[in-house]
Amino acid sequence: MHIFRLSHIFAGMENTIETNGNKAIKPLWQFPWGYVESFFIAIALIVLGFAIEFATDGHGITPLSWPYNAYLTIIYLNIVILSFNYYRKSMFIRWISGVPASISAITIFTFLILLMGFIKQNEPGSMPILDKIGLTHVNRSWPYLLVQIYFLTVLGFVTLRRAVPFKTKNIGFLLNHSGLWIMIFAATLGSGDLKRFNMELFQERVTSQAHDAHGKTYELPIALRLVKFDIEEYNPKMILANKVSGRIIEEKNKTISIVDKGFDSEIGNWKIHVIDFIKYALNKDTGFIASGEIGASPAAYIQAKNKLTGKTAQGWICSGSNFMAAKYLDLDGNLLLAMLKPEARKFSSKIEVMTQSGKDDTVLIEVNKPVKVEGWKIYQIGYDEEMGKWSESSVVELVSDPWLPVIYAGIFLSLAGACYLFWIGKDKRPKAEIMSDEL
Amino acid sequence: MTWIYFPYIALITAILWLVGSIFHNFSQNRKAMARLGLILIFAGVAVLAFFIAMMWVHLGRPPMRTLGETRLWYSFFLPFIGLLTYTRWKYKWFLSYSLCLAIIFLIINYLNPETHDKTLMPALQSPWFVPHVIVYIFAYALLAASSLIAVKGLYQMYFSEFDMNVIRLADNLVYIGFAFLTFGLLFGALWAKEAWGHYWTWDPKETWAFLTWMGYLIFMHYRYYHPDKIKIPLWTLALAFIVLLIAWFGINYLPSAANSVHVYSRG
Ligand code: HEM
Repeated sequence: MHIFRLSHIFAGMENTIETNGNKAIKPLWQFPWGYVESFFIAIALIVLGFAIEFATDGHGITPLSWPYNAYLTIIYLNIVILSFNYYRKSMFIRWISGVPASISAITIFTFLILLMGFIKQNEPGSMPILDKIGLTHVNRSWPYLLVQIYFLTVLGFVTLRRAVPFKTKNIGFLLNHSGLWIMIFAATLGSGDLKRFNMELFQERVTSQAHDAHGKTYELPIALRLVKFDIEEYNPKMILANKVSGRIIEEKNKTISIVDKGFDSEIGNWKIHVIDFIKYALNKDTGFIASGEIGASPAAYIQAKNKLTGKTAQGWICSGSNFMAAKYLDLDGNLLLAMLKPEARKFSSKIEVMTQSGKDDTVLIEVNKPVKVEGWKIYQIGYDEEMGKWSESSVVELVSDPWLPVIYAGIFLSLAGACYLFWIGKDKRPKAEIMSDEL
Repeated sequence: MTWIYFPYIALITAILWLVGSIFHNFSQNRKAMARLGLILIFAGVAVLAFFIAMMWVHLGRPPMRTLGETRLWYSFFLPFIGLLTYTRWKYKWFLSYSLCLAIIFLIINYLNPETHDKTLMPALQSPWFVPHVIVYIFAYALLAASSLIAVKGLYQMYFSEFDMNVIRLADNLVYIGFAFLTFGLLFGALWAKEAWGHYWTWDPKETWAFLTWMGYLIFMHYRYYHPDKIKIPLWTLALAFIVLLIAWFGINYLPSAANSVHVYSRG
C-alpha cells in the first residue's frame, strides 16, 4: 500500500481531518482532500507524462501557434472562470484553490525543473532512455506540459478565490499570484509564436533569408543590408611570457597592464614605460606607423628596466592581427614582453532595413541595444571574427514575440507584488481570520 | 583620481562604516549616539561617492566598464539597501550586515587589482548589470541569514527548547529576501530580452535560479498554512539554501551547465 507509505514520507502532512480541534484519520479520497490526495494527483500526472512521452518515442510536443493558442486560451479561461463561478463552494474547487494542492503543484514543478538542472538539455544521445521519457528536452516534453497545466490551473483558482469579491487588503496577494500566472501562461502559450532567426548581412547584398536554430532557411518579410560594421576596442594589455615555452607568466597581481602612451607600470621585476602607443599601426620598413588599412593592430614603443639587475630593453611590440604577425620584446633572453589582442568593447552595425510596406530606413544596432522594426526586434550578435575589425559581414538575430506585452504585464505585476512583499512582509493576522475571509 | 588611491579610500570608508555601525548598533536608547553612527556611515558613503565621481571625471565616462568598477557600485549601493530595509523593519543588524557586505566588496577589489582592468564583454555592459547583481547579493545575504537561523532552530528542536521567535525571524527574513530574489530574477529577464533576444531560455543558470526561488516559495506557503509546524519548514529552509549555493557557485561544476552563457568564471 504505497499510498500509506507516502504519508510517512510527508510526515506532518498526514491524512488527517480536524474537527473542533480533534484529529482523526480520514479515509483516502474522501473530501476535503489534503496532502496525500494532492501529491497523489501530482505524481500521477508526471508519471502519465513520462508514459505518454515514452509511448510517442520521446518526440515531445510542438507548441501551438496562432490562432490555435488563442482559441485554447479562450476555452481554458472559460472553463476555469465558469466552473469557479458556479461551483465555488464545491469541495473540489476548494481543494484545487487551497494550499495542499498548491504545495503539491509547486513541488512537482520544482522536481521536474530539478531534473532539468542536472541533466544536460537539448543534447540527446548520451542516454537514450532519458531521451525517450523526455528528460533531455524537458520544456518540450509531455510531463512538463501536464505538470504545467496542473500548476497553472491550481494557481488560477487560487487567484480567483481571493480576487472575488475584491478586497483592497488582498492587493499584494493578487499582484503576486496573478503576475506569476500571467507570465507563465503567456510564456507557455506564446512559445509557439516566438520566432528567432539568424541572418548574415553583407555590404553589397540585400538579404531576406534567415536560419532558425536548426539551420533551416526561411524567407522573411523584411530585408536587410549592412551599411557599416564597426568595432570599438579596449586598449590592449601587456604580459610577460616565457621565451622557450611561450607560456604566459602568471603571477597574481601585476602580471598585466593596460597599454597607453606615457603609462608607467611594473610587471614582475620589470619597470615598463610606454614611450609611444598607436591604436592601429602597420609595420613598415621605417617602424610602426598609424594606419587605417586592413590588418593594422595596436603597437607600442616600450622601454623596460629590470629592478634587480638594472638590465634594460627597448623596442616595439604589437599584438598582431590575422594579417600581420605579432611582435614581442625580448627582455633578457629568457622573458618576452608581449601585447595581447585587444578585446571588443562594443560592436555595432549600421543597417538598411526594407519592409514589405515600403519602408526603407537606416538603423544602428549594438549589443544590448536592439532596434524594433514592424514587429521584429533586430539584435547584433556577431561578425566575421577572422576579419575582426575589418569584418565585411555582420550577424544579426531577428526576433518576433507577439506575446511579449502580456509577459511584460505579468513581470510588472510581479515587480509590484515584490515591492508589496518587501514593505508589508508576512501577514500578522491569524490564519483562521484570513482563511475565513473569502469562504 | 585613479585606482592608485583606492587602498586609502577603501580603508577610510571601511573604518567609517565599522565605527558607525558599532555606534549605531550599541546605542540602545542614546539617540545622539545612534545619530552619530548614521552620520559616520553616510560619511563613508560620501568618501566612496567622491572616489567614484573623481574616477568618472578622470576616465571621462561612467566607471562601469570593468569588473573592478562594477564592484565599486555594489559597495556604494548596498548601504542604501540596508538603510531602506532597516528603516522599514527596524532590525539594527540589517544595516551593519549590508555594510559588512559592502566592505567585503571593497576588500575583494583591494586584493584583486587585476580585476580593475578586467574588461566586461559587450553583453555585460548594460544599465541592468549593477541593479541585477545588487538585488541578488542582498537577497542571498538575507536568505543565508534565514538559513543560519533555521540551523539554530533545528539545533534547538533536537537538543534543547524550541523558541517560536526563531521561526518568526526566519519568516521575516525570507519574505524580505524573497522580494529581492524576485527583483533579481525579473531584472535578469528584462535584461536578457535586451541582450540575448529572449527573456527566459532555461539556461542552467536560470534553471537553478528558478529552483532557488521555488524552494523559498514552498517554505512560505507551508508556513502560511501550518503556522504551528516547525520541523518541515526548518528543513525546507536549510535545503533551499543548498539549492541557492548550487545556483551561485556549484553551477560551474555541473556537467549540465557546460555551455551556459552565464558562466563567466572559466574565461
Ligand atoms: C510569485 C510567487 C508567489 C508569491 C510571492 C506568493 C505569496 C503568497 C503569500 C504572501 C501568501 C500568504 C497570504 C497572504 O499574504 O495574503 C500566499 C498564499 C497562498 N499562495 Fe502564494 N505566492 C506565490 C506563488 C504561489 C503559487 C505558484 C501558488 C500555487 C500553485 C500559490 C498558492 C497560494 C495559496 C493557495 C495561498 C493561500 C491562499 C489562501 O488561503 O487564501 N502561491 N502566497
